[in-house]
Amino acid sequence: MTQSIIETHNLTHHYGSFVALQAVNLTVQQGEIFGFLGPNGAGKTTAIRTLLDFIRPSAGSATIFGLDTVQDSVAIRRRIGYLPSELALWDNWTGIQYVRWLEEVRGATNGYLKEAERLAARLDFDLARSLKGMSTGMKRKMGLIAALAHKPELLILDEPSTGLDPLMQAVFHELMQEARSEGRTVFLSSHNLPEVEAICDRVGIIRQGQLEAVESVSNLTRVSFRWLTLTVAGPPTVNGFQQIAGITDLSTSALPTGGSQIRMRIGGDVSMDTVIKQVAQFTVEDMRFEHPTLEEIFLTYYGEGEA
Amino acid sequence: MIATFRKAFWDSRMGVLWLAVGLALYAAMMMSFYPMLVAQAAELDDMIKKMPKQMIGMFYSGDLDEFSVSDPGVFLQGRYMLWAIIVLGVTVGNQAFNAFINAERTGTMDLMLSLPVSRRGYLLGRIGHTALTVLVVLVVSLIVFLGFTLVVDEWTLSVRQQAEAILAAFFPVMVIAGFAYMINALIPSSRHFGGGLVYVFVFGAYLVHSFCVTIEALEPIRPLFLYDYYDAGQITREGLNWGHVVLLSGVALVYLGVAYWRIDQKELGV
Repeated sequence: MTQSIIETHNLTHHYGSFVALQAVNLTVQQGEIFGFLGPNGAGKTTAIRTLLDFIRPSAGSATIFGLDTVQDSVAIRRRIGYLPSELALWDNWTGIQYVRWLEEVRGATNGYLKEAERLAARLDFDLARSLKGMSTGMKRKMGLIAALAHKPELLILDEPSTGLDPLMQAVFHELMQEARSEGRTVFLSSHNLPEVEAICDRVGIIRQGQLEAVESVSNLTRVSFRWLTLTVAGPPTVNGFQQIAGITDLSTSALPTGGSQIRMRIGGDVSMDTVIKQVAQFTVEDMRFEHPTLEEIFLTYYGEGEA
Repeated sequence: MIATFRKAFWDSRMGVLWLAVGLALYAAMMMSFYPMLVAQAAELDDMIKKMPKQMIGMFYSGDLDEFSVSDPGVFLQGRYMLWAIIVLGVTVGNQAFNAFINAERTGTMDLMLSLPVSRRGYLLGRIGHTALTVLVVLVVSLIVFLGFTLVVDEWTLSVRQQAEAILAAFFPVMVIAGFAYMINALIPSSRHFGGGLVYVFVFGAYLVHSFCVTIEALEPIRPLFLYDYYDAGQITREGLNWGHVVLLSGVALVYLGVAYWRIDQKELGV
C-alpha cells in the first residue's frame, strides 16, 4: 500500500504582512515524482523551506514520513536529500573533502563514498577538484551528488537542473527515474515545464502562495498548448489551419524576402499528425515550436478572467 | 556537533595560526622595548605622572594609582593583553557572524541545516570552535611570554603569574563571544546593525570604561563594563580574582544561554 510521505495541513507562512504561503494542503505519495510548479515568487521555495524547518509555519502544520517537520526535523533530515535553488558551497574544500565530511555528519554506513564516486562518474564530475571558482553547472552537479549519495528516501530538489547542460539534464532525468524505480520519492520545484512533463507523475501548481491545483502530468499536458511559428515560401494562406479545431490565435506577416511567417497556438488535444500534414502543404523554410510559459498555462487552466 | 566543530576549526585553522603568529610578533616587538623602559623607569614614570589621567587611561584600563611603566604586570596589561582582548574580541565576533548571519546571507546555512544537524547542536559546535580559538591564541601568547623569561633578564614574572594573567583573558573574550552569538540568535539576517552592536560592545565599552577611570561622574557605571573585571597587572600582583572569573563566566553563560534558547526559534534568512 502506498503511504503518504509528505502531508501539509493548512500550511501557512507570513513574512510580516506578506502572505507567502496560504493554507496549503498537499499530499505526496511514496514512490512518485511530484513537481511543484509556479512562477517566481509563487511560494515554492517558502514551502520547501518550511518543510525542511528552515522557517517555521505561521499556521498549519506538515509531516514528512509521519513526523512533525518542526518537532522531528533532525530525524526527518537524516532521511532526506536536499538541493537548494541557489546553491552556495563551502569553497575552501575539494569535492572529495566535502563528500567525506557529509559522510561523517550523516553517519553514513558503508558504500556512501562509493555511491558518491558512482554519481560523480555519471555526472562527469571530478571530485578531486576544488569547489572554488566552479561554474553554476558544476556546483549543481556537486549539489546533486551530495543530495543523492546517501540514497535518501525523499529527495527535495529546488530548481534542480538549472545550469546543467542538456546532456547532464538527461542524466539527471535518469537519476530521478532510477530513484522512483527504487521506491524513493522526489519532490521537485521547477518552472521548467518540459522537464516536469518528462519526469513527473503529478504536479502541484502554486500561485500567490495558494495551491491552485494538483494534477497528473497527462492532465496538465492535455490542457497545455504550444506555439508554432512557420516560415514559408510564398504568400501566407491560413485556410487549412483555420479548419483544425483547437488551433487559435492565427496570425500572418509578409517577410521582406518574399516569404511569410505564420504563427498559431495549438491546443494540447490537437492531433499533431493533422497539423504536420497541413504544414506539408507549404514550402517550409523554418518551423519552431515553443512551450507555453507557466503563466500562459495558468491562463489556459483557469480562464483569462480569473487569472 | 562534533562534525560542525571540526569543520569550523578546519576552515579557520590558517586564520587562527596567523592571528597567533601576529600577536606573538607584536609581543616580541613590545618586549624589545622593555629593558630600555626598566633602565629609564624613574624618568619615564616621572614624566608620565605629569600627563593628564585621561591620557594614561586611554592606554591602560587598570588602576592608575598602581601605574608604573616598568612594572611587568602593568606592561603586560597595557602593552599586550588589552590589545589582545580587543583583537580576540573582533575575531570571536566575526566567528559568530560567520556561523549564522553571514552563512544565512551567503546561502551556506541552507546546506548545513539540510543535514541531520540541529540548530542548537550547530551552535554548540561553533561556540566550541570559538572557545578553542581563544585558548589556542592565549596559550601561544603564554608560551611566547614564557620564552621572554628566558632571554630578557628584566622580565621577572613567574610562570604562574604569567599563566594566570594571560589565560584569565579567556573569560572577558568569551563574554564578547557570548554577546556576539546572542546577537546572531536574536537579530534577523536582513538587519545590518548586528555587527555594529558587537563592535560597540568591544570598542565602545573600552572607550567609555577608559573615561570612567578618569571622569568622576562616570565612575558609578564603571562596573557595568567587562574591562573592569580583567586586569593582567592586578592579577600579577594579587593573584587571580575568582570573583571576577565567576562573574565573567556567569555573564558569558547567560549570553550563550539566550543564544541557545533563541536560535531554535529564529526565522532564519536562508
